[in-house]
Amino acid sequence: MSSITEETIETVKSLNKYEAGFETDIEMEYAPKGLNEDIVTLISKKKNEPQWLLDWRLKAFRHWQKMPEPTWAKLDIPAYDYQDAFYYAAPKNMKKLKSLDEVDPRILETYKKLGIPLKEQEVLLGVEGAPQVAVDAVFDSVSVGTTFRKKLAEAGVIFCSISEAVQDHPELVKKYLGSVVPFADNKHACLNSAVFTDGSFVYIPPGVRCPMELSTYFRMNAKNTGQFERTLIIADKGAYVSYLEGCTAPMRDENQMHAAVVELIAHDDAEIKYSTVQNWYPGDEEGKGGIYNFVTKRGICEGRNSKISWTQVETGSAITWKYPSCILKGDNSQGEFYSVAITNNRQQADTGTKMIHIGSNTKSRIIAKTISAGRSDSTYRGLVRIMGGADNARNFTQCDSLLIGDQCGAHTVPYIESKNRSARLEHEATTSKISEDQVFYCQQRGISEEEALALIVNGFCREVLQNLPMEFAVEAQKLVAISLEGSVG
Amino acid sequence: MSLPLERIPTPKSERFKYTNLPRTLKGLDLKPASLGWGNKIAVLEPKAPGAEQYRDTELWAINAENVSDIRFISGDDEIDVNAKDGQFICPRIVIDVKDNQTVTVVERQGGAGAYWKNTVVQVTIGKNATLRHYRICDEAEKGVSTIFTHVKIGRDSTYEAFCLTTGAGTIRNQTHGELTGENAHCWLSGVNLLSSAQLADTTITIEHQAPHCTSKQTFKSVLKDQAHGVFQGKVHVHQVAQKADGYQLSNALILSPEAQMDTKPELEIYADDVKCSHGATTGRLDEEPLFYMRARGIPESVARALLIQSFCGQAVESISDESMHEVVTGKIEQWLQSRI
Repeated sequence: MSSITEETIETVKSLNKYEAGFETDIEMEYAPKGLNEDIVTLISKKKNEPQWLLDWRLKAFRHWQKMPEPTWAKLDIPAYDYQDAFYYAAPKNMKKLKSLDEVDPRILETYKKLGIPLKEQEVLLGVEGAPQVAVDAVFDSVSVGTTFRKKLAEAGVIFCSISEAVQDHPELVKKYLGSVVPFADNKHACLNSAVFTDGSFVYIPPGVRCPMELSTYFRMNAKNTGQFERTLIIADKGAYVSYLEGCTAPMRDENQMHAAVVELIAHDDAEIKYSTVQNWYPGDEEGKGGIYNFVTKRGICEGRNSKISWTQVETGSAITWKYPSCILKGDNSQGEFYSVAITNNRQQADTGTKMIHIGSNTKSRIIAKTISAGRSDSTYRGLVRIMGGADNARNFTQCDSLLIGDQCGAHTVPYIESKNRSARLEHEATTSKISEDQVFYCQQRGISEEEALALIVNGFCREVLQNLPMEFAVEAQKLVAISLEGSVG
Repeated sequence: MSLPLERIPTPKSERFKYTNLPRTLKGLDLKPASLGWGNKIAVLEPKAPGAEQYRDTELWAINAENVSDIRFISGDDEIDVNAKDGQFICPRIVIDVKDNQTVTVVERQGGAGAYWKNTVVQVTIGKNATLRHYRICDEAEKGVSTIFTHVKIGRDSTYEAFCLTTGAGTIRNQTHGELTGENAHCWLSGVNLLSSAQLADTTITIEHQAPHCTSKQTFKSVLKDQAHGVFQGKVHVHQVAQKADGYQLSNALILSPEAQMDTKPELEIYADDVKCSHGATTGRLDEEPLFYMRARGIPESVARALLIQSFCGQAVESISDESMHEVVTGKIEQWLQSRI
């Protein structure tokens, strides 16, 4: 038995169900409850934004009011009262910080508890040669700090919160914001466009390979707030960046909304690798509380030979509605989607991807693993569309579902549309339960049923977990086991 | 009378996503007509099966309201459903297979000119019985044919269906199968050979409602010119239906630059002890075997036809009736000779 498995089992035993469920007691500054044009204007004013951005927000807000809720997903979404939430919450006394040392110690403590080092030296104190990760920490509505700025600036990489980018690099923001996900794209993205408060901004100049992994850590702390962050990543010609995203929230009885938008732009020969470990609070066993995770993520392979790769491990949230997509516009561009979605108790997930092939010789690969346990429902929903001009396009899709227990559901809804004769598309999907033979084999060799389950599930997800950066892979394996705790027998 | 256009689902409806029936029917000047079978003899199933859950049974409702002809079948039979130019007809075929019987039904769908034929085939299979249902759709180029087949399969029974489609300008072949008894089987297969601007839409819903049932779907599409193929298959395994075995396969060959194929194989599973899978491929003819055969002196057109024939083979093989197997093979050869 490998050490990771042992470790996994120990973690399962030692942990309560949701280890990130604590709350940080910190004085917060709120905008008034509710959602109207004044709130949108207030957010914009708080952030000292230029007029064009305020106009854009208001345009989005007015459009949002007219949009119906999307109902096509296989989700049972209780009506959400948009007026009964705060749209801006920031730790009090946030002033312009000169260095990370000035960050409120309680916030630093929060991130430390979550295992996110916000101090550069802590990373350096680790094993020599350990990979470095630059972190942008978003606490409710605002970014509280970004590490390794200097080192990144030396390489020419811009990595900061999007509010800072609006001030310091308005030309880039104006050019790319909303270029991949227009504000009217869907109801949730539209709401985000109107009220987004913070998020990360990354620009990698031509020919630069980003010297370290970049990461953003989202923490929802305040009560009754929604989190609406916006991430914009641009890889210029020949650039490379690997970006990680993590998220947690305290355990609460009410539902909180998280509607994020992520836009990726890859120019000629550029590559963006985007990894997510989503661990928002999933609600309790009876389905009370939890985060509504309604996220729009989309990347465009604008240039030739560019590549965008999405990897996601979805274990949290009461309801997940998320379809990271790739628009393969440049010739020879590539899109990849690797996903593990785990639902337990009363969780619901409807997730998948879209691969739109426009350029010739474009390739896409989709590997989706779905695991349902308890009384949860999980759906893979994916679209592969080959446009007329996408000569020699190639797609491979594999979706596998695993059911644990007879009260859960697993569904597969792929859409495969081909308008080009030279395109080749393959799709396969399976649904099954954990084979008794496998469990019996393990038990015979002295491995307990619960251990066997973790072992088999980790094997099932292996193809996806392998694609995560090292630091995340170990974390993700543990999460996989924790999420399934209590689903045996 | 005008057609009930407002009642016909648009592509906004999920199960009609790729087939725009209202647009196709809009310009047609059609009058209600009948095949002369008589329609005053039966009490019809008033409500379409699964109407609330699946929301895809509008064509059944239109048939029920406008039914023009009714035909009962309970033993081996052959039936021709031929529409004429300018007709709007709604034939209903009721097949009732009693316990312990084996029945073979051959259904030939045809027509001339422009028409809309909205057929409903209502099948009930008792216990320990078998129905072999073969359908040949060789219809008019301007015809619109929509066929809704609903099958209820009882304990230890088998429904074996094959459909060969070479015709109708627009054809929608929708099947809703309910496996209601233990150890029931629903095996559907078909070959769609399409050219010019034809559209063939195969839409299937299979409900596993009892344990130990199996369902198989094997469909092949060959698309030439501006043809448009659609395959939407759904396997729904209810919670009680443990030990279900469900399989879906859709392969499409695109032979011309303007042809297109849309595939949506769906699995909806609520039982854990199941084995369900699907596969879907879309692509062109493999160049290597083509080259191999040409290198050995086989003319290109013959080589192509051979490859396409073997591509369809897997679906045709599932026909257990030998004479029908021959008829279908012959028809495929004929199509290949005239089109390739």
